[in-house]
Amino acid sequence: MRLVDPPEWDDLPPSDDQTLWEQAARGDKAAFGELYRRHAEAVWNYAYRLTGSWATAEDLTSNTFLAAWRKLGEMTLVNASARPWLYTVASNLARHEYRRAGRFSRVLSRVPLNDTTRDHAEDVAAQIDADRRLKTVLDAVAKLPKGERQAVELCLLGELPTAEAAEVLGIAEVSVRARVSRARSRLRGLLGGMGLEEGR
Amino acid sequence: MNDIPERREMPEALRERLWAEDIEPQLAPRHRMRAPLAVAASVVVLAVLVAIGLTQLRGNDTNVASGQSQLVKECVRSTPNMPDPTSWRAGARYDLNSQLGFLVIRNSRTAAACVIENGKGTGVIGGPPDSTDRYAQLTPERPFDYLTSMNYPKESVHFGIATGDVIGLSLVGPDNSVSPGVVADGTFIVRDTIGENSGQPTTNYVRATLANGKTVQGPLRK
Repeated sequence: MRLVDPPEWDDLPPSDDQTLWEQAARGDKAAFGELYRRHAEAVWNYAYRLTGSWATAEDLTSNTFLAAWRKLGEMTLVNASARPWLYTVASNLARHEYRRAGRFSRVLSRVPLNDTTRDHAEDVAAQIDADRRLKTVLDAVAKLPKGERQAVELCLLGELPTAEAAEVLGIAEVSVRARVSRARSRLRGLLGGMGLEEGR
Repeated sequence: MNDIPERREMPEALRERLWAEDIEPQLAPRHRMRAPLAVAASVVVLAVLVAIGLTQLRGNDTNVASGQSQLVKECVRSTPNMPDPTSWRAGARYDLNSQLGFLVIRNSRTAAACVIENGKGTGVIGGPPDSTDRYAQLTPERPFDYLTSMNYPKESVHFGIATGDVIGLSLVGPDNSVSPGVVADGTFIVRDTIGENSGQPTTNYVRATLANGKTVQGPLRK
């Protein structure tokens, strides 16, 4: 099955994520492929924001969807979108798998020069600077209490609406806002002049 | 000042490559992992010796765990948030075929069922177990307990824990068919030809054989 011009994509009627999720849980790879097509870009961007490395983001994206495939049958999608859950999977993988293997910390402790080679259109110097600033932010985010870190990852790095973050975290939306607010204050102290603003 | 980088548009070639090279080839046939909680199990107990049970097992690759520490590591490593990562050891194993099998891993408090795909431990069914001391909840009257199931259209593979003196365990279906299980190190796996019906209580029964020759029976699920 290919993602480019696959007949099975065209044959799929528009479905919401929950329907696709259920189909994929029954073994429908085309349905899972459609979920991948919908969310790969978001997960890939999110993975970069978690790791500061586009190369690692590719690996993390693949592993996130592979983990999702393994977990499909074990749970019912509570959100209309699979994205919040995919983000939590990516976060957990980044934090536990990559850190355990040493890759995550290495990524955070260096400027990933090699990771910029694929992006020939970008100015390399600017990319290095951006990566360096992101690394600083990620280091600060990693120092937050767990609840605040999760909220920051989902709402600020992942740009999820607080309502969706609240559902996937299993807490009230107002609690998510409070955690983000507290995290902002801490981050201002940790980052000095730098800040962390929602992307949209 | 916003230090979060702008989102990039994902190149279609990259999206395609990740799918075609990294993801799609590793999508093993999947199955529903856990029967709905609404399913209740009515269980019967049957005395079966370990040797008899093992010889009667369907599937050609059933074996008791031994020398499977690498698989245990893979199972733990592939399951985010697994508690006490170094505490796990291998229990009962059952291979459905050369590509797909299961290994129950356990520690002193609880156990979990891990999926083995192409010889690699790929993750614990249902995610990491909670902190409940499940072995402490076993009693002489109920020396076994249910963990989880893999449900197929017409059959299931059930996973559970048992006390150390349970040496054999079987499921008996409503048609009195007997499905012997693998028991190893306080864990068991039973493949049952009677598929779980999520809308009704199961009619499977369990029989456990103790080392002293006695049998104990009770529902697979409390």
